Amino acid sequence: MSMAVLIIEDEAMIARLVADFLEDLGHQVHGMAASVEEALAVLAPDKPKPDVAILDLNLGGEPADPVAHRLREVEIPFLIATGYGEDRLDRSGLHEPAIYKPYSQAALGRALADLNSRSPAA
Amino acid sequence: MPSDITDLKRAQTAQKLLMDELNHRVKNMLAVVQAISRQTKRAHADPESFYEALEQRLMALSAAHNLLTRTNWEGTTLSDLAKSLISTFGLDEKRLVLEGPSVALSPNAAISLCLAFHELATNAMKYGPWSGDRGTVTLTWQALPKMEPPQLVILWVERGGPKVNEPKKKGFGTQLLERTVGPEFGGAVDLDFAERGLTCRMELTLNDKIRLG
Repeated sequence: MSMAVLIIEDEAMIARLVADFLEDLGHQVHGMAASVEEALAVLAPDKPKPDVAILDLNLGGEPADPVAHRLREVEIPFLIATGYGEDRLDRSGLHEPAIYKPYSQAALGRALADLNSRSPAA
Repeated sequence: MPSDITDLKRAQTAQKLLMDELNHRVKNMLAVVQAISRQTKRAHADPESFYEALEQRLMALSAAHNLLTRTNWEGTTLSDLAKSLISTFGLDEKRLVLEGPSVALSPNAAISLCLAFHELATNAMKYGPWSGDRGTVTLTWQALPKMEPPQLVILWVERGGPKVNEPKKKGFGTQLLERTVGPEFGGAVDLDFAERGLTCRMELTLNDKIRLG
């Protein structure tokens, strides 16, 4: 199933790569945000909602927790994409599924399919 | 607990944090390399030319790394970044004229702009003013703090090189400049392939990624 995906990633080259992956996988890029501020603006109540989001945990040195919080609040399922290891993620107290950088297009495709199948909206 | 054990514990915790950060940085850098490889593949069907282009981009990434290591990853300045081109490309200083106020770049901004300038410089070496022995590039930047939002305008102007032909196909460099650097900094990048020399005009928003000082 094709989904509209919001990419929240501070490194422009990586965001571009993820956008290419999504297009090849048959999904749409709903938008891109490079900071907590930009992400919260895209997720404002008056804006169209993405189906899912991919969230980098560290946005220009800032923790992405406020964005994770907002995504949960508006019930948008999301995937955590991070360069940190698993134990760091455990300590961060986030329970969403994660994908570890660098990841392949196939791995992203599988993670998004899993996300879609567990989301109550699907 | 005896204080030497407390100290040891503290040192172990600090080391673990440091290793976490290092791991994070390495993994991110690998993802950037992955992104560059994929973008490079698009424009090069031949493995030889693919490799040559990829290698040049890895060197650009390495140059950005060197600049950031000097400041403990606090960032760098636009002028230091521009000067790094002189050593990377083995240029005579007179052939890259720099002028502009002091501008600080965040680590992410430094990586993107370093890749962007390396694309322009590689193009200048192959087809532009640095392909012969006389042409120059003038790189100037100016802050427009009263604009809404405040802007930094960067001009890369090539003169004295061979007659310029507009490329038929948009390569990695053009894509990087127009589709990545422009949107990344909330602005626009314009490439003008005029016959007498290429001009690249970048209009970037001044914020915490790019700021005066």
